[in-house]
Order: sequence, then C-alpha cells, then structure tokens
Amino acid sequence: MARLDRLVWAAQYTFSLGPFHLGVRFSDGDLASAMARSLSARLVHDVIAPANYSILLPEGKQAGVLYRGYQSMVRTGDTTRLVWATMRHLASHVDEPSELALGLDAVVRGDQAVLAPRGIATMPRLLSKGMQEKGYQFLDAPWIDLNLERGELRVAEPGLGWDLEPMRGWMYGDPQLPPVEPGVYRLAGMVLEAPRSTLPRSSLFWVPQTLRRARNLKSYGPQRAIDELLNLLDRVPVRAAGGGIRELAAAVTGLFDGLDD
Amino acid sequence: MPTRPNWQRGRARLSSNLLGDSASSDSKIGPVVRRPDLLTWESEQERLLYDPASGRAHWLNATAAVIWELADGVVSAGQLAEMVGETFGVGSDEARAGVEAVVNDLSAQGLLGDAREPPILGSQIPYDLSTSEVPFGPRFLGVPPNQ
Repeated sequence: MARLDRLVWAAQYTFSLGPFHLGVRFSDGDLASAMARSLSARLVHDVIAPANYSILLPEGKQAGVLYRGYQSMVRTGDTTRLVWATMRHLASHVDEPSELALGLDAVVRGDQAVLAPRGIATMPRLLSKGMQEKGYQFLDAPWIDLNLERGELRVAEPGLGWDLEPMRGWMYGDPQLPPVEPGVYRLAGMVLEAPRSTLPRSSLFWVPQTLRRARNLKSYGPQRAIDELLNLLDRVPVRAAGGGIRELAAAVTGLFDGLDD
Repeated sequence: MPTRPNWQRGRARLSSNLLGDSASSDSKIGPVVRRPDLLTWESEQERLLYDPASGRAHWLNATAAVIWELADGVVSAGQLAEMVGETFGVGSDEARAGVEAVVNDLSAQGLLGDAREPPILGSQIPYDLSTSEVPFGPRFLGVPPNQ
C-alpha cells in the first residue's frame, strides 16, 4: 500500500468530469463539503471512483500537497493556491485547449509570464513562499495555453461550471497572493531543461524540448507549431536549467529580473 | 507495352534500389538508413521528424516510425519487413509490401537513404544541432615545445 493510502482521509467524493468519474479525497472535511457543494452539478453519488486526486491541506510546517494519483503536482503552504490548483487540474478533464497546450509550469508577475519545466510547482514550501512574497504567482495547471505567434500565455477560467460561493472562503481567504487571474500574459522568457554541462548553440535545440510537452500538437499542426516556436525563440530569452530546484527558481527569477534592468 | 508515368518509374527505381525486386532473394536487398541530421521526438504516441535543411515537419504513424527507427544502415529492408511483420502480426507478403511503401514514401521525402550511397544530408544545414561544452569549462591545452 502506498504511503498516501495509509494516511487518514476525512472524505472522498466522486465527480463526473468529461468522460471520467474521478475520485477526490480530502484531508479536511470542511474543504471536502465546500467542494462537493461547489461542484454539486458534477457530484456522483452512486459511484465510488478510485482516489484520482488527493488534497492534503497545509498544517503547521507541513506543506499542503495536491496529488494526481501518487504524484505530487503542487506543494505549497498557501491554501488558496492549493484549492485553485485543484480546480484547474479538475477542469483539465473538461476544458479544451484554445491554443497550443504545453505541459509546462508558468510563473506570473504582473502582466508577464515565464514558462518553466515541471518541478517549480512542487518546490519546497519555503522557497515558493519566498517567491510569492516577492510577487511571483504560480499558474498550477496540468497544461498551459500558449499563443506561440503572439508570445502570450492565455489563462482561462476553469470550465467546471462551479458555484463559487461555497469556495469563497477557501479560494480567497488569507492568501499569500491572489491566484493568477484569467487573462492574457506576455511571455517574458522560457526556462527549459538542458544538461548542466552543455550550452545549446541553436534555438532549434529547444524545439523538441518544448514540443514533446505539447498535448495537442497533431490538431494544432506540427509544422505551424515548429515555425511559430522558432520565431518565438528568436524573440524571447531562454535560459537552461538542468540542476536542482534552486537553480530552476533562480533561472525563472533571473528572467524577470532582466526585465527590470 | 504501355509506358509508365515518370512518378511510377521513379518509385520503381527507388524500390529496386532500396529493397530489390520483390522476387529477388534477401541477399540482394540493400539496407536503408535514416537521415542522421533530423530532429525527432515522440508526441501523442507518434513520432515527429523535423528536417532543419528544408524546414519541413513530418508526422510518422506507428508503422512508419518503427521502420524509420530500425533503419540503421545495417538492417536490410527484408529484415525490416520481418520485424514489422512480427511487431504488427501480419504476414510476410503484407509486411514486405507495407515496408516497401513506407520506405518509398520516406525516401521520396528524403528521410531515408540507401546505406550504400553517401548520406543524403540537406545540401546546407542551417542550424548547428550540437551542443558544446561551456567555453570556460576545463579543457585540454597542449604544452608548447621547449617547456
């Protein structure tokens, strides 16, 4: 039995999301009730789905974690961020991408965004808290919608058809920062994975690195995606980060700092 | 005897070059080799090739992807047909015909070549795909004479 299954969970509900019945279990009964009321239109009473998602609320020095299966998707001490992340992950089973959908993380500051490889959303709690205190927001979603041609990150409202009222206390109460609002954010740079000892000479190096994360490349059109991405890579700065999570965070903040210079 | 159109003659020549005549023995079948300078990665359970020289992207289905990956310049097209037949559970004639068609298509698009011929790289590769060591990293320096 996995370590996660040995924990005591306060409640578990099944929701109908797209073609799936998905189970979500909660470490906190109040949060579970609020989410069940908020998503009452999607609540399924006669099916017990496996725990596809698990939400562990932060407690004391213990970070809150959103798990998909047994894999942590988001780690944070910020309840607001954790609940928004859950809504965005659940919505990913319903929402269709409007642009090229990339399985990358995004960090936002003001009206600008930097893309980052997976890992930044699960960085140690204190590190993410430090970034949040400096004004960085995390877009915690399984994929991000990127308009390659315009170099813009498009953030949509999670299309769950939810009732916001039961969640208001959880989603806007005492946040370290408000969640990333729906809207358009200009892409200020990209941090991509590369071996520490190598220095890519060509923007072409980043094409497979980026597009292997695409979720809808076939429908978007690979030729179009490659042409637009190469064009975008000529316009936005790219940094390589191949080491640990601190190097990744430093690369992200370094790109934003470059905007201030 | 009716004259075949040019494209059919081209295909037949290519087929003969890469696979040998269908009636020929396996020993006459030449190996095929994938272009080494293409960018390739998997996406949505399929394989994408990008030719930096032409700037063209090619989406390969599962069969074409297997053939392209196996085309290492050593494995003959006949062996390719055997492997494809085993992988996809089809008879040898069907596999051979399928491999021939795919090899022809990939060759016509310049993605595969005859291993016995010089590699069919793009005439001029506009991108340097390699990576380099960080320039200020440790490197070997020759010792000047008389030192």
